[in-house]
Amino acid sequence: MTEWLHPALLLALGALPLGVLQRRGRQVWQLLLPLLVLASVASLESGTLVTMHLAGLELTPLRADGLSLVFAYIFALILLIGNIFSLQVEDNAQHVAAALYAAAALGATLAGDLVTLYVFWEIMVVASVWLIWRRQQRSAYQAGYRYLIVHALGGMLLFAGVIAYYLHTGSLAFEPLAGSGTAFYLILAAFLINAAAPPLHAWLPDAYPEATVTGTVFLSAFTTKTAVYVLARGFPGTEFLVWLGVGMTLYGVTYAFLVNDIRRLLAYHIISQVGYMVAGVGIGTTLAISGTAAHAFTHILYKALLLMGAGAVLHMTGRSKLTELGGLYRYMPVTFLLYMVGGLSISAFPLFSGFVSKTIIIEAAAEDGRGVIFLLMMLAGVGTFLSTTLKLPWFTFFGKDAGLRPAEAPVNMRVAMGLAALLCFVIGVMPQLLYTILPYTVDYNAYTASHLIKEGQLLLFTGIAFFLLLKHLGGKDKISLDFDWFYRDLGRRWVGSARDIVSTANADIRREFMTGFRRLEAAACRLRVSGWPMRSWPTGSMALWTALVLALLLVFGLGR
Amino acid sequence: MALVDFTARVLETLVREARWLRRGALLLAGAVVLADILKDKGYSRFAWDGIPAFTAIYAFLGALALIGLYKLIGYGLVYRRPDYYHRGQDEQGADGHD
Repeated sequence: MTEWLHPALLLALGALPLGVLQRRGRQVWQLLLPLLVLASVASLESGTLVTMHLAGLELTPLRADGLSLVFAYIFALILLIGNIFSLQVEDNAQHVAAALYAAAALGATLAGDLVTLYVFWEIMVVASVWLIWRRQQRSAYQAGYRYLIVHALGGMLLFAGVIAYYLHTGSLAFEPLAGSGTAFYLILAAFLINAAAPPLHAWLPDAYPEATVTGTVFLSAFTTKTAVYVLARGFPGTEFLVWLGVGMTLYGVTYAFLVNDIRRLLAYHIISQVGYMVAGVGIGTTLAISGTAAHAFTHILYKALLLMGAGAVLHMTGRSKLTELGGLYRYMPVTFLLYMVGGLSISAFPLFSGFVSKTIIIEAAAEDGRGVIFLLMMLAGVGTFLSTTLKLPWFTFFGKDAGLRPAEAPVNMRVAMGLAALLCFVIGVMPQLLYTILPYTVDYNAYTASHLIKEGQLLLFTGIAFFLLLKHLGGKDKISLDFDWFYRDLGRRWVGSARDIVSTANADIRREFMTGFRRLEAAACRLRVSGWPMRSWPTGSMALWTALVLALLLVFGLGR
Repeated sequence: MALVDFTARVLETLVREARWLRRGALLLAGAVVLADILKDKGYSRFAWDGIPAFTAIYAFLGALALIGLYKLIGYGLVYRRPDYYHRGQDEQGADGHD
């Protein structure tokens, strides 16, 4: 019955009325649609496989199994939460874009072949960029175009990789890829662009903070997590990903501490948290893959919660820089408390969701005997707690009073944050609810005395270090250069220099040509005025020229 | 609105009593270190598993090292003026340092 009712198709069709419905009707449909999609996903049984033939190719537009369903559940759930958060937004284009974006992410997650995956991959890009552009600011338009260009490159790599894979294997099935060859690296590079793996990551902290307040919530959920899913599906156990992932965890936390914009800070933490998942994929054991799926699930919830909190601050104050914020806890206390639930979750604080998911990946690294990876992941945890849960809330809600007197965020925003916070807490105290939907059986208990003591030490002593150095840790009114500098500055300068060289050469050639042409014109003019070409030639001259021409013909043998 | 006011009052009280929170946190930090020293960990997968309070020391020193790293990278390499990318084309040649 439900095999033909693809959740992505349902959502894509359901997105269309959002373009025309107004106010109450639109709000009701914004709530109803994700619930229908959630029901559609819940009705899919693991093992469902729908195949079709198109242009001689065997496609599998729907494949539901343990791995894809975890992502499908959370995508549908976050659409509901994001829609509640954006109920007050009177911009139909944003709502349509968000729903189509979610539909494409669902389609990519449930795709059983590479062609279907590619199609949904590209729809994701086209739909998501509108969530950036609809902020309708110059900086958002520019960031959106950069986002589009980077993802167009990623799309081309994926397309080329799919063709190479088909030519090499004769199959389009999306299964774990063989460990070498052009197709392997092309597809891996495309996936890593969407996963925001350095140095292919700069599009994320460049574009996400420029998106609309509500758009950032959707952006944080779909693109990078779809990438995590496809990596887990196509590249489990790829050793290179372990080190890349750990590098991401540290890169993200380092840059998060350097930036002044609170939404950019959280954007860098997406890279850091996705790093744990990429490392989990690289480790590749059943515990690590389950940990990756679990962490993607919890990450989508707490990251959305954190970005909703930061977005609520931006929405109510019009500001998002640490140097311009401070003292908001008196005016936005509920937002602060709900933000802190997200902060404690991302920091793997016991009783909150991150504690029961992130520690699975760290445990998988330990079980695999990877001591250095284990230590580096713990260090990234220190950095996460420092910037997301201590620095950002301290300098936004406490610290020096910036003199802002905003009202608390609208009710729908608080309800959305409350729902996400509730789920973070419920998963934290009842992890089995999450563990039962993971791709593999999880034999792991986060709540052992050893784990609690270790995590307690990690968080408490990080906190002590933070408060000891508090006066040195405020935001700086600066930007931090990242890899996007290569195309935003150096690349632009190169293009500018090349343009100058070409335009100078063009001008020189034109000038020289025109100078010569004018000389010729002047000479022709002089000749015409002098009447020399039109004068009568004497008979002696004519005879002389004729003899000369005949002599030349004889000399060069043309007369033979 | 009542919920907002109530939450604000609770937070005001907590801020007023911050020193007790600080003392409580320090006491808790001491307690977990003590528990780590006294309790058998139940596993010894890595060499450092046997070092008492290893995680506390690692987290504290790690936090200091990360903060030092942020400062070093920030001031030494990547910090620029907020208008760095929006300056006129003529100024693009300058390095943008303050």
